[in-house]
Amino acid sequence: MFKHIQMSQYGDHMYLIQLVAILALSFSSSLALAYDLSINSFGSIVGGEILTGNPDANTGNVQGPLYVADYTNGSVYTKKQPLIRPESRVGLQATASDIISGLSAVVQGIVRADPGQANLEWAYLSYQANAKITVQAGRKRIPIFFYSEFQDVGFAYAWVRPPGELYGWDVTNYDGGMIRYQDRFGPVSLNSSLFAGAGFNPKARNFKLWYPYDVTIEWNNIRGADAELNYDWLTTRFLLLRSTNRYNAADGQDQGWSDYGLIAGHDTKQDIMGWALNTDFGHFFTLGEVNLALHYGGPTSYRSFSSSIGAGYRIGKWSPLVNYSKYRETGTSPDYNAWHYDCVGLTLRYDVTDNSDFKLQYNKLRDMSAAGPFLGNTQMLSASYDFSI
Amino acid sequence: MNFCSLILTNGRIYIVNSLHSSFIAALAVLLSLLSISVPAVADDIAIIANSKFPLSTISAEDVSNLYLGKVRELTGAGVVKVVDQSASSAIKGQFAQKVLNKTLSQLNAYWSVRIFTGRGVPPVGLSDERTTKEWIANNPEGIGYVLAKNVDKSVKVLLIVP
Repeated sequence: MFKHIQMSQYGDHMYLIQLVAILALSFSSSLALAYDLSINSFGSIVGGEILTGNPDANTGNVQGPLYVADYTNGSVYTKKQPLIRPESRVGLQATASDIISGLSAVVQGIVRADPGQANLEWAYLSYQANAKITVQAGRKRIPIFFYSEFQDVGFAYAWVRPPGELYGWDVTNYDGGMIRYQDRFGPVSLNSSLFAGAGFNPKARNFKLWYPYDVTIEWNNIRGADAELNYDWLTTRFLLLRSTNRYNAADGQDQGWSDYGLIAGHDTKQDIMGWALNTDFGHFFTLGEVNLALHYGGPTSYRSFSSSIGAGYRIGKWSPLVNYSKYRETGTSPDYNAWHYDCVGLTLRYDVTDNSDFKLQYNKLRDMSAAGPFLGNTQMLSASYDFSI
Repeated sequence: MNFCSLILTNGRIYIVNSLHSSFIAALAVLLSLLSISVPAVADDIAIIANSKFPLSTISAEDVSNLYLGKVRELTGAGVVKVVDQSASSAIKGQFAQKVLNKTLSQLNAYWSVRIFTGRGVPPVGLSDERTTKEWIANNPEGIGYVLAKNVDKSVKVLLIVP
């Protein structure tokens, strides 16, 4: 079924945790272990076309006109022609519940049209210690943003894609552990977690936006906490994360990194703070999120601030949505090539069935980078068919 | 690469060959789609439990929190199991709207988030109300729901949702 399986290459002990999770799912009846196995799938067929763009724009390794839809996976539309490969994907998740009382195992794989290979995204064990505490260990998504953990499940959110001004980071998943605490205080429910581990991204696809050679990225000593509160129509989430990052290029090709605040093979510190605030009044809803990332300890320190705010209205099966998002960098060095751009989006979602939807989305991006154009002023039209089974 | 859009509508699949015409076609199809309205069934819904269930009543808020996985236990009852109805049952849509304040699409999106973030799985959906009452008879710590008119002496009614 899979053309290629990409496994973690980071540390034998982390690889062993994933292997244990996979083995837990494949336990046969001969071991006399009864468990409930559920299989869930999701997918998105996404297409897009650049309506207008800047041929002089250049991200470093991609010439305009261009539109970066997903920084994390390096999904970029180029040329003024329709493309379907950059973002289309299908995922499969298997969950074995109650392997032993309270113990479950989860495995998730995704096939992305670009680059056309399968990846093992998640593989972890989950133990429900009691009604409020769950302990998890293995490989999971780093929960930086509100939609990080389900960013690939297009059916679960209102846009064709979460705003790229916010949703883009170097390492997607981490190997480690998480303690989740769930409780209720009157009308307010709390879902919080503490997590720690390390992430590894070989041949990082996002770096291909900037450099022609392969770059491997390590996020070491990841430790973070998040807390999500829900009261009826209001949901808010806070996040703190700290890590020590290291970047290495093939054959030592690390020239030009100093303006990115990096030295190949040296550690760079990273602090991330995030806050999301969503409201849902049944018909009318709003989506808001801000994120501040600090990068320091390298030759050049810089910070990035990103934000997104949107408002939508449900009319039967239709959900129109308007969204504004922004990204801005500030470097400590006077010659730091800071990126600065914003984007307006108009989305129309139609719930085709109870498990699928169709979306049309128009985006207008404005590149205000002083040293640019990196992205160039761009208008983009996208459509997606999303499902979750 | 030419863009081919795959549109599923009314059970038939349209494949068009160019992005521009596909967008126009998609928009035309969507605009021409008629929401099929199923006449709302105004039946009351009964939240039921085994006669040995420790509580005699339950609030709609507690029912909602249990069925959305926000809580797993109730004061005076400990851990509470919940059983759902299958997606194809008419009563599930009513229950989702009246008790959970969500359409089935919103409910599925809600559980998609929880499933794919590892925060939980939805309650098991049983095929019909008879099976639900059989499950209740075998699970003194569980609750379920049926149409109020189908309640019988085999179950205890905790709440009626009009």
